[in-house]
Amino acid sequence: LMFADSKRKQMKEKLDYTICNFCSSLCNIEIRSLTDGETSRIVKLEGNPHSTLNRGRACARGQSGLFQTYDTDRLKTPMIRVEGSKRGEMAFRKATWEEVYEYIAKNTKEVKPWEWTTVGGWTNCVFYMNWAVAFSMANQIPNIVASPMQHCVTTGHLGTDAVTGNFNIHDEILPDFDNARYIMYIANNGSMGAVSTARVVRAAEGIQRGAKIVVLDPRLSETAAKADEWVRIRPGTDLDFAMAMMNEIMSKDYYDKSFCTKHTNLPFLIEKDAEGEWQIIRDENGNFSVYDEVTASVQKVKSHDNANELDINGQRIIPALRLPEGVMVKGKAVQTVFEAQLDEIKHVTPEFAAKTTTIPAEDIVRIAYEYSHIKPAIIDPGWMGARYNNVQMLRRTQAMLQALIGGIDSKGGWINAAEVRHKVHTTHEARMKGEKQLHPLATTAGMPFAEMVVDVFSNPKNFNHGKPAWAYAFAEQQKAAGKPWVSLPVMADTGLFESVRGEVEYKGEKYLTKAFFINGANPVHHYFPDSYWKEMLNHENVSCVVCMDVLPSDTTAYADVILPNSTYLERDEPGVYGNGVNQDLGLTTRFKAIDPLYDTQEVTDVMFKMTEIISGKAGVEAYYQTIDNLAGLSAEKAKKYVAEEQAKGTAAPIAAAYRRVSMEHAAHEVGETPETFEKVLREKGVYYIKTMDELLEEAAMPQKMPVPTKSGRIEFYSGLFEMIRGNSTTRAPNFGVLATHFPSGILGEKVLQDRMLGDGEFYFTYGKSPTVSHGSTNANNPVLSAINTFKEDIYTGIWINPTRADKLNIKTGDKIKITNLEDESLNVDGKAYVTNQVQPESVFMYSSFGTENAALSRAVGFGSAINKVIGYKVDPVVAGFRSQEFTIKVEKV
Amino acid sequence: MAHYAMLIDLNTCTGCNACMAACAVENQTPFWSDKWRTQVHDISKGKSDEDAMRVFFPRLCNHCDNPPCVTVCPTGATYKMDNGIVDVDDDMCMGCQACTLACPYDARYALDYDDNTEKKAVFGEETLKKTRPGVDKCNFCRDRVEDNRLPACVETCVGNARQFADLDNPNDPVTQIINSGIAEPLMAHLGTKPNVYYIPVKKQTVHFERGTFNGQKSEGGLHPMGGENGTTFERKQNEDMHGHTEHHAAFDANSPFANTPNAQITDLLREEA
Repeated sequence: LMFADSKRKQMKEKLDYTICNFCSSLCNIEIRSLTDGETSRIVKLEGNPHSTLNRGRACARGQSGLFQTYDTDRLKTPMIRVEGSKRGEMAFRKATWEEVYEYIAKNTKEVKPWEWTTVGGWTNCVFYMNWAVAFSMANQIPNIVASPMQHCVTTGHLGTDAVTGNFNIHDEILPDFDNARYIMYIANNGSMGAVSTARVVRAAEGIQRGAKIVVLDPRLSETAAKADEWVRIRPGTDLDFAMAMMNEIMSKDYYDKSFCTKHTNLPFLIEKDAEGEWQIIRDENGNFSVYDEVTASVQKVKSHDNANELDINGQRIIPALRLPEGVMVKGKAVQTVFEAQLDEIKHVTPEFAAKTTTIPAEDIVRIAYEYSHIKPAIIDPGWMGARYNNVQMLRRTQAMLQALIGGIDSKGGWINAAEVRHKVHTTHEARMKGEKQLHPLATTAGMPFAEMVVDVFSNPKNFNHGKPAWAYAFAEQQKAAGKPWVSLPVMADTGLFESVRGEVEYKGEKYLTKAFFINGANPVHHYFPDSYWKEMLNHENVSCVVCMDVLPSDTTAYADVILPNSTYLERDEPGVYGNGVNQDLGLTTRFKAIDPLYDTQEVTDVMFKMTEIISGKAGVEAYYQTIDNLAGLSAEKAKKYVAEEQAKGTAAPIAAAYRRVSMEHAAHEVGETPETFEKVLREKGVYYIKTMDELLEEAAMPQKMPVPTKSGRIEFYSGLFEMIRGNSTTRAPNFGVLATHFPSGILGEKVLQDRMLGDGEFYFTYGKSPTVSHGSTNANNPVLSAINTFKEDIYTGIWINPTRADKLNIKTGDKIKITNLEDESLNVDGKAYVTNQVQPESVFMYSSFGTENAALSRAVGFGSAINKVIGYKVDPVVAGFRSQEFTIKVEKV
Repeated sequence: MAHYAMLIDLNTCTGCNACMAACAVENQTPFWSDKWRTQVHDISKGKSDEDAMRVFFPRLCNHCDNPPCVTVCPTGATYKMDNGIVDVDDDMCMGCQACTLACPYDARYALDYDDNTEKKAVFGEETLKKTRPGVDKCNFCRDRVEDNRLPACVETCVGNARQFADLDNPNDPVTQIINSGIAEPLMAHLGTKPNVYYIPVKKQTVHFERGTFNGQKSEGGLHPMGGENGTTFERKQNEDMHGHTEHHAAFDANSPFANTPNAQITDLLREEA
């Protein structure tokens, strides 16, 4: 009953460094392989001990990552849907790369560039942004759906970033949990429970140093379980709680007066125009007005600056937050932004919030006091945001609360990610010198970057066919028809269904979507509801669906052509990247540990081939040039190196060539030879340039340089929303230039205290498990799947409070059905998990399960999918998903 | 000589399962058959809503100084090393499972022929660590420790909940925490002298409204809003209904709310035992 001893002892150990691929935390990873000189096998992954981002740690997904590579369910060859079968029926045949490219070319011959839609996940976005954005531009394809923009990034981050100016697509802020003494999490299990390792390692340090943790959540989430105080809030009322806190802090003067006066636009003078809209007072040069306490007079401060210490003539001033009686500008009564903001929310008192949140007013009062008096304090900005109409406003309010205590870019407060800061710093210096910045993808951050991205997709002049993205065409069409429309539908799916069905017109012509290129994204499983995407991908107007991925997914089931991708452990990547959200400034990249196990390809090479199919040889030339223009990676060098790599017979010559270009480019930027630079990366996985402390000393924002908002200050009166308001006629409260209270939308316009739920009626809530990342197939990972099975009751159960479950005669393990009461066709079966760890009005489900594709042998049929019960509802600003804005009924089946 | 021990801070274990994954990969355990050297349990405590508690509870071999598994082993396969680690010699183990039954911590599992067959496919034949059936358990990642590395679970613990100590080194900061008496081992009353110490969880305060509406009893914290006369809100001024005010920690001495007692430390472990 024994096996022969393995060869293990004779094999040699080898270390390589890479970046984890299972969430956008981008942890640095050390790969341990054993090799006998001929073949290598990866035996263990760990956090890279040289990394100050994740400090040598990796979560369960990171630890299990090698089993994605060794997963027997992997896509091993290109595949083509069998003729005569329908998409979704999963009838595929193996094919060669030549065959699949021929197939795509044949089936898209009639497809115009704008009739393509690309769908990408974060892999595409973070690691291949230079190639993905340039792919769109070079091929004249204005249509990108990017996941998880609507679920998370644009909703939550844009709310935060309206205040701080930081927009960077991905993470902008990593709070200094290490040094905080009071930490709040609001509507946010993402950063701890769903495990952003960079955040958890710091928060744990904070807890062990004695920080107090307060968590608002309707459920005893992984984060709430770590709290000193679990605030068991009613779903959808977090904004009420946060605004009541803000009301307390502002009206009782608990804020950091010096910071607010100096670095925010709270002291700026503001008035209401004839239409009742708030307008900040500016002169013809854009300078703002403040009331100076020293001279007791109105003075002007610069249109763009980081501080309000000097007026435009260089005189020292102390701007007032509250005005004395009777201050007038041009004969009109004015207020400060501070006073106006307080007026906007003054009705949101702790007593008001107590009724909606079900949290006693005295607790809200006490938490507001402690938050503003125990220093330093943090409200985690939230690593996830969407779900309700007012979540974007919640994130704005959280950022304002953080600014009110002066906790921006300071020890124990929010720290701007070093990569963002570096770009802002570079932009600031170019601005001071009056120079124009080249290569925007590599150099621009903050609101200028957001504006550039919006322009790319919305401005028809960017494309020779004169069409913007269908999302913008659809918005215009809706607006013209007097129907609701989305103001900034960047990389969102709004209008896509209509475009597929032939219901979108632009300048009198049909704007159709006929072909999809889906790369590393799984919209059938993670967009809402699943039936939309299934119908769309199966629609007769769609002539070709191309999916590129590592594993089959619920989405690849609907492909005509499947392109297998190498995993992150099998590839040297073409880019050199910033070190994620790290507070320290550094560079990193991926080194492969083993050669690809199967007949797989690299994203860059596939994109070039797709360009040849869509746009021909001229398109390929334009692609090289566009990458050069956007990212500064020399087209000349790239072409030369591609020829060299092709001559060598390299499997993915374009990726290999761009890696050389990127290494040389990055080495030049940091003043190293490419050889030395690459050596450091190979030996340590990270190349550090400056520490957080050095960066704060040199370029703290707003203390040392302007933040990337319009005005350079931390903005309570939002320049971003002022711009959106100017471009549209919408007056939805979402667009308020100041923070404004409005309900979640679960009960429409009503606040939640207006109605009580019926007997079997519940609020619906969901969240991520620590083991499965957004949109991914890692529920199929053998190790993660085993952990999920070990915790099956908790992870796949539908959480329901015993007081409610008893009434419905439901016990743990009972089969139940939950049905969306707004649309009863949306429902899902599952098993009950009866627990007092969920607020009695709510049910909760983990969002990670319910995979349908049988080719995922471990994940299929495990648990229930949330997107069978969630309908399609988006917010008017960025089309963020309002995915919890409904109530459900629960029945035993 | 070293004497190895582990400290687990239950206040920072986030239930992320990284240790389970790290251990399963490092030690090639048959996780597909639910066989683990370490597990993190997700425990519900508290019968009522205000007592609701969720505790993540990592478990592993306790490397006892008085190990029952060693006493009962008929072949001497299970043995205690000078550095405190309890390990199994695969060549001597006959798979009788006496140790599995003797262990009060349920820390051992049988490794059978089927497991080994599957292991070849999952972990790769050429890199297999153990090739014999028998019994498997945590050995504090002995190979790693002898190589001056931390056990895989400790190395990766994102919440820094797991820490590794050398009890023979009085300057070891983790040893100092253990010596401070803040942490305690599991089921010490059995006389096993375990070497895994736990810092117990702090008592958590749960906030929600316990009230009545127009004299109606609320439903387990569910406050029925609305009613005939709109949204009149009435809160019962009864101390029993205000459980949330009892456990506030006075974190800020100047706070007007500072007159409440410090958060209590409850003894999770003794209750568990």
